[in-house]
Amino acid sequence: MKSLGVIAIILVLLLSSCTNSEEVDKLSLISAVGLEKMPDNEYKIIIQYLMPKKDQEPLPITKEVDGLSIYEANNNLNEFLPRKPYWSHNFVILLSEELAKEGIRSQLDFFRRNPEMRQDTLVAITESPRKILYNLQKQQLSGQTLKLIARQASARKGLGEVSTLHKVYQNLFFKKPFLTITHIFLDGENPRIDGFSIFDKDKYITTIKGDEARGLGFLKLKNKYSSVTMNCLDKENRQITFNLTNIHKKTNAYVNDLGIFEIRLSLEFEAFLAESHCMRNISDTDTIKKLEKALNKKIKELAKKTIEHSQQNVEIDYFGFGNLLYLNHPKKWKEIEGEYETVYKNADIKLKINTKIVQTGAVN
Amino acid sequence: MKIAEINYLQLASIIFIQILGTSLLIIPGTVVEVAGVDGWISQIVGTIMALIVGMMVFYLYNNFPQDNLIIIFEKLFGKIIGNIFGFGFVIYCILSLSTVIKQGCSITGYIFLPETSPLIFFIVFFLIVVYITKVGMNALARTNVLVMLLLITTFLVIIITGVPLLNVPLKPLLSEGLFPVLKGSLSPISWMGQVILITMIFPYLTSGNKKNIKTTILMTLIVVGIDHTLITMFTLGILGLEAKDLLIPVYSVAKLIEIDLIWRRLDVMIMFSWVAGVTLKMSFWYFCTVLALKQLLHLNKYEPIIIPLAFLTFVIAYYSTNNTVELTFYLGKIYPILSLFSYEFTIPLIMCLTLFIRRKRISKDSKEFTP
Repeated sequence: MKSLGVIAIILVLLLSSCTNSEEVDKLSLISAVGLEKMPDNEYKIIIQYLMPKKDQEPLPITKEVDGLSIYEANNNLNEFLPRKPYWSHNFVILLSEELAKEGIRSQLDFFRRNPEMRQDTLVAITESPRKILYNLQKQQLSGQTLKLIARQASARKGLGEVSTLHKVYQNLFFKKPFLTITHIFLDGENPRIDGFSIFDKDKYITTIKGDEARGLGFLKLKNKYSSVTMNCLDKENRQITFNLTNIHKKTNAYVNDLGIFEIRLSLEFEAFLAESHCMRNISDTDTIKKLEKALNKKIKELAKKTIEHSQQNVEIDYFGFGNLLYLNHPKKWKEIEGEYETVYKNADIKLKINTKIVQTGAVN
Repeated sequence: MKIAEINYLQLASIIFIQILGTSLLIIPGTVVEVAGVDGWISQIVGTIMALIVGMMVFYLYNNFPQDNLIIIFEKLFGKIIGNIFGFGFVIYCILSLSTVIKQGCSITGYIFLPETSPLIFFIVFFLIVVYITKVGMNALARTNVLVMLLLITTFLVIIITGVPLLNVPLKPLLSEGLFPVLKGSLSPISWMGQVILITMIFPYLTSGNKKNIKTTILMTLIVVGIDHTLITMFTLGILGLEAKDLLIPVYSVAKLIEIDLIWRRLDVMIMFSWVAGVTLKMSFWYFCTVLALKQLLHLNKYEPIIIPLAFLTFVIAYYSTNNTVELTFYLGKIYPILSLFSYEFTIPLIMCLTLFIRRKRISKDSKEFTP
């Protein structure tokens, strides 16, 4: 018995040796990947990898390669990479708009199937992933920068949720998917987040930017910051700016007896006065009330713009009202499921916005 | 020979690891596959049904505190039928154990060491299981307590750190009716029904009084049921129906958790508790199998059959399924029915009924358990 135990211990020790160990300096750490479609149905993948070296900051290097599938392209990387490609530290998957039009679910399959891959990788849409990655290389920035920018834009600017791989798939598994994905564009040489792309199920439709994108932020996000600038109450040509957080959100969606889809949105905001070019004295409550009212109006205006865009221009529900109806009234959902597009187009959406100014800053 | 004693905590830990050792990782996936968002209700139904099995186990213990399952079979049904049931039990044990081994090896391989040959896992687990069985019940029981603490810690860490990620409502409730929920509860019942295995170690429970044993069995089952329900709720609340798309959803949940710089990559904890739990589960199953066979063949010691039987079991396990798809299909669809219609529900029920009807005519002293 004892001898068996000794053999077992020896075996365990031997088996834990490093026959196929993976040292960090023997790996090409992939930090960003871009996917594009070639004319002859081939994929082009552009990768950015980091080569860790002793006592040196790893430099990002960009390479591109073709293949019939993404895995094949990945496999072809071995033709010129000196080290094994390692995917676990990938931060960003950039998809070209053209590719996303074909449906992103199949394109992202490779990243889901590989157990090495982490599901909190950022998925972003851009016109040309190639340009963005070469630009990052030029500035010696890794893919992590893009992910951090996306996070920042979401938390401080209210530009949509950070669309990670997990979030994208979670959304695609909803009864009525309402996917929105971060959109990146190249502003001169700097990659910049300018809005988000909207999808019909998993097919790319268009990108919304500017005010409409911010309106979506107001309607969808909770506990994130964004800002609103409006005209002063007394002087038309001067501005006053507030920093806003959405602290409470309540949505009701139901179909009434006449078959009209009714949506009631009630949002509560906390506002901090950030900058004022007029009215140095805002201490009296009347002015505060007036400002609150004006803020309500402004937010409503922005949100309405987005809702109008969604109902009239693209006719796609990217707020998730359909899904909400399914969650709360599954029977009603079944009745309108087949003709949801028309039902949504004629939906009656009412907004109720309540803003409270809680701080006016260090100036009295 | 003196019989090793098992105290309440050790009994509880044995039941706990018996079930949660493998189910913690696998059960949310198999249940959500069938019951969808109502998976957590399936777990509650499963727990209630498992409590019935727990009551049956206690009923047997109450009447035969000195005997194990094989002897109880003989006392209840006579020599011939009793032995047939006994051999059936050994076959059931070998089949179940081979699935546990297959799960242990293939999932360890799939997630943690994808480039290692599966044969290596089988050899390592084989050696550990043989060793643990040889050192006996006492050491096994004490190790179980340690690993139970590890499993509880993993479970709590995942639950607590998972709270900020919860964002999918568990609605609509029962939208597809009650049938998928009941169908989904088969898998948890079959897992928790494995509590029947402790009928093999009744003679070791010498130190306790009967009432406490009853409380221990039922309370442990309830705790396990709560664990199952919570882990399913969290998996659904974090992943939504995306859980259907993943092979091992709990592992994906652990990978998503990221709170500041400290709480990251909790998948390592999952690996830790999975390997420890699955090893002990295998060992306990194997210990019971060996004990049952020894009893049936009227051997003096069980040591001589440990290695040959282990070869048989591991070879069956090695050739049982070709890939994880077959394995999850077998675990979700075939094994629950196989086990519930044999030794986890139907046969214990027949035993209890027989015992209830013939309780005055059953001989009290025909045979005695020897370790």
